[in-house]
Amino acid sequence: MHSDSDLRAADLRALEQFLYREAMLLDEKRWQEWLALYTEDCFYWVPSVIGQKDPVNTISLYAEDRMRLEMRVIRITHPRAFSQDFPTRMSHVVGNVMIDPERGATSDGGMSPKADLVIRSTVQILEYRKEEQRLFGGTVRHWLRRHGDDYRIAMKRIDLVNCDAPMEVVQLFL
Amino acid sequence: MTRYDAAAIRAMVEPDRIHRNLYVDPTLFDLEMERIFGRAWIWVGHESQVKNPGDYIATTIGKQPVVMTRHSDGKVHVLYNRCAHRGAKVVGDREGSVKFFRCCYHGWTYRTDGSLLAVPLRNGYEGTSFDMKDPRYGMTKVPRVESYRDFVFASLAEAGPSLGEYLGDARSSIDDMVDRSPEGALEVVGGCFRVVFRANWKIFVENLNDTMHPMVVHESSVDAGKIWAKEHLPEGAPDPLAVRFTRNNGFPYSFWEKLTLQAHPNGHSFMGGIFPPRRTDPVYRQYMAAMEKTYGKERTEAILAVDRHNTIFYPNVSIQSGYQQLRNIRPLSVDRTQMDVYAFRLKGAPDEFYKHTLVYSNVVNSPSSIVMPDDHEAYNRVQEGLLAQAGDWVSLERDAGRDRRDNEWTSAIGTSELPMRNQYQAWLRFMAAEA
Repeated sequence: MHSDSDLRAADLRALEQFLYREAMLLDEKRWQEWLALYTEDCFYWVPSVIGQKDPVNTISLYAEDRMRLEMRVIRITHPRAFSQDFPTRMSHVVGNVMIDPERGATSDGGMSPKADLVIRSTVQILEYRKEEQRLFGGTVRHWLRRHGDDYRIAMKRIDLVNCDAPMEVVQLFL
Repeated sequence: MTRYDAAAIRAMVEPDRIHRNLYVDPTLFDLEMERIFGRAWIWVGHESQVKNPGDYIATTIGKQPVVMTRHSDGKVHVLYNRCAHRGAKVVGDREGSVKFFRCCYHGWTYRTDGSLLAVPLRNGYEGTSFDMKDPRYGMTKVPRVESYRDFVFASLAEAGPSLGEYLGDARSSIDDMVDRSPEGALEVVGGCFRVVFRANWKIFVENLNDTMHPMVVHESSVDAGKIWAKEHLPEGAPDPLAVRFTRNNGFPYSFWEKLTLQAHPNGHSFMGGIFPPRRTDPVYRQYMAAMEKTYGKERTEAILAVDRHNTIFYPNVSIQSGYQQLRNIRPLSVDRTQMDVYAFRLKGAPDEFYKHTLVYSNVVNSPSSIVMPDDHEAYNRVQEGLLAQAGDWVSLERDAGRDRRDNEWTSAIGTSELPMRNQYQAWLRFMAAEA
């Protein structure tokens, strides 16, 4: 994981812009560009309980490798995805961006993603579908791998405050 | 508000069609809570959820809050979650472990079998009819609780058929699920998916054994699997599990017709398996070895030869024995239902084996499932469409009149609407019995 010199080198502003860009691509449904932010060996994880230790001994809302992210994109853009006749719309607000004080040590679920730094942020997601709105919110961690002058997401973990609530289906990405 | 006497209820269920009021009338929903959820054997939980003395889970039977506990003597109890004093829900969270329950309001405490342990300032009750030993002053036990191979059911009716009589040979699907464990036991894995949909609970129960919907409803997720595989895998390469779980829904009608549906007089039913029952990967071979060690080759073969997809134990629980999934149906209102989804570990199976169960949970049964949103959209459209007064009836006529009686079971080809017709005959028996 990142050394102190890496930390100095890391331009927090640039990292914020990276996260905002991901949020924009999700909100604008630019799925291919969004997928391009992820590494080939990525893991996208949304635990189902608070403080979940791993994706193996407890079920997860999402526990996706790249294949499954790509399958989801095929489905939600399919003309016969009937549940998208009323398309879902989302608005992400990303805040509190910081270098993860724990550097991902206790939150990687044993996945040990190959990453150069771990960014912690909070997110609020307004979702609208079929004439109703709902709100998601929680803590996000991005495990980022350097890629030239830019980054790629090796792992993303989203801990929703309502992860164990009864909820209607979630069709897009958080 | 319509009032329903037995004759009015009978008039709404014909052998091959049912009245739309069954889905949209809140008065009927309230009657269902009383006459079906208040009388039938209702699945409450699995014994592994309350492993140790003092463990409990809180749930509902119909609309009524209950708590399932394991008492210090090891016995499982199902108690109404209500304080005998002023009526507060005693257990306020979903699960946990205690030495005793203490009401948050005036501090009455109860043992985990429901009996009253203590009340503050007891001398205030001197000279009243209050009696520590009277069960009236404990957390009331629900009338009947029975367990079959760790699946705990309760009935709020004092009298009626035993659990064994009620489930009949449908128990063989529970056997199928449990026997697949090399130790003959299941264990609920951490976490529970709680998925809400905007439709009447019966629409989901119907859908469980409806094979005419997958290739229509699931076209988008079928293609997601197919297209991904085509773009990424060499011709003839085996499908990754996530691809298999999606694209199988796109099998042609001829595949579904060849399946068998079996329906039990009490409303239960199951359909034949839709995934290849055996796999050849190293993990599966390791699993087979563990099975053979316990059961021997012949018995292992017999266990794994059983091939069933969804089994519904009417009215509130469904299992997928081959992938260790359980869905508990919890009606919230006439047009809103919660489904609690659990995944199980086959005790004694290799850890890796269980990862396949998790893939199934994620792809098919999670709130973020790639498959389920289109089901829920269809249920919701039935609910909304039935508000149109374009005639009173919903058709269940497919393959009617061609059922075969076979001991306890009635069977039909996979594309028949037999399970639904059968569910409504069971519905009618509960609902037309007024007493």
